Amino acid sequence: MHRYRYLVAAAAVMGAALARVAVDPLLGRDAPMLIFVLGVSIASVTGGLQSGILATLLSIPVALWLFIEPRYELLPTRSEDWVRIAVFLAEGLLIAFASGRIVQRKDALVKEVQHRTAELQASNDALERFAYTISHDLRAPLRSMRGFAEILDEDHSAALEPEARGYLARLIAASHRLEELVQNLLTYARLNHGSIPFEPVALRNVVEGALAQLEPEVRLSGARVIVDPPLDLVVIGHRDTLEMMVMNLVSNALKYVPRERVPEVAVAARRTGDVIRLSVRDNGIGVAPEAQARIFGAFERLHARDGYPGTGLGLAIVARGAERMNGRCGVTSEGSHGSEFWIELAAAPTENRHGSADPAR
Amino acid sequence: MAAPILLVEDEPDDVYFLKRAFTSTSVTAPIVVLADGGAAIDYLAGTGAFSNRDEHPLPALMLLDLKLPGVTGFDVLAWLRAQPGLKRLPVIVLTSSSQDEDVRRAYDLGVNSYLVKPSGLKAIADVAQQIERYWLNMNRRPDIRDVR
Repeated sequence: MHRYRYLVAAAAVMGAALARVAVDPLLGRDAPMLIFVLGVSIASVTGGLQSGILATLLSIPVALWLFIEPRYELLPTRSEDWVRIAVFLAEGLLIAFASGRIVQRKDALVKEVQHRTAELQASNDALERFAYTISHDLRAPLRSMRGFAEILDEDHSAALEPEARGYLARLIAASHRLEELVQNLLTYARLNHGSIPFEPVALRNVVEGALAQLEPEVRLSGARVIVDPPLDLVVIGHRDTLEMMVMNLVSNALKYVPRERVPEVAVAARRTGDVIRLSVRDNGIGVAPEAQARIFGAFERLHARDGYPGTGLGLAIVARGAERMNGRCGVTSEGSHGSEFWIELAAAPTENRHGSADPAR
Repeated sequence: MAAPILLVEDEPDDVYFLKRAFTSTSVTAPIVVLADGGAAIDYLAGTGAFSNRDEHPLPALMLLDLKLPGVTGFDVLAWLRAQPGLKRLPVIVLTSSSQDEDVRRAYDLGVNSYLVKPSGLKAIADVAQQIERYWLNMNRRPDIRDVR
């Protein structure tokens, strides 16, 4: 670093001397220091304070030797040349100090920004790790609670009074809810910071997987779920995340329905150019126009838990997932007759007939 | 005594659920539970409290939790895969971690399968049934012998 500063100073002075030699036929004995001021400025701006001072001090003997009369002698004969040199010295030092300060401030600022960025990144990482660990550690006691509650229900139900059986059912339902929340938190955290590799994913498998996981809910609600037309489209995405997204959409479609109405859910997909749109239609309570943008944010809930239970993360996962897969999502809803939630993703390039890609995967 | 299933798990409730799930399958192999990685290594090496092979025969399969106190599941796995006679023992990781980093590391250490601990009796029963069907019946198991 130090050697670099000396080099900058020496090069600037040498450049200035050469330039002065080049214009010597024009200037002659006038303005012997003129171009050296430029040299000092260049040295100061590129090398900072020390280069500037060094260039100033170096310029004086060079100018004395080469350009101030009598030439090839160090001591000038005219007293005005002493003034020239004194003024040059003052100018040079001033330039060096001024630009030195600027360079220093800039370096400090750059360092500060880097430091702050690193700090922010570290605390962000720590927070995400914390969220991940907490979600994981929550799972173990949750497994126990749910497991033993189910054993009570399965093996000892006959020994319980109806009231106690009711409490047990509530306990099991609560453990399901908590588990859903933890699962959603983990998925959401992962979507925000983890890597999700892309691959061709057959929509049929995604929808079948999601519906299989929701089988108890579908059965309980007596809902009619239609997948139409049969989905033989392949998108580019992350299988597990996509399944989670579809699960959340169908789960919402089952949930947000007036009590007296039997849920009807239609899952469909169609391709337009290179884009595939997967849509989930319901006959539920609909989404008011002013709420349509808001519902995709994390922990946004439009309804009290009493009416419609949920974690407030389902649609946030849909939105974040679509974004991570370079897709889009949205909702269209006209009043209280239901809504249609959709996800748009890139279609997988169609393989040639003998291609190795297996759409049934 | 038939080759047992080695269950390395420190969470007593998880041990209970899994044992309960296996009783509903036709698995006849005994399930040997070890609560930490050190004990698992001792058992596999036939040292310490487990030096009698008639009482503590080599297992047919190991179900291994990763987050164990002291010697972790990763440590057990790394040790096992370095033992000439034992390294082929099929190992299924059964853990609550679904972190990509853990999955990668486990496979890098030569695990045969990686399962995330399920929740709910039905899901746990499914895991026990699948393990029986695939790993104990369908899968052809290698022969393993003692380190000594």
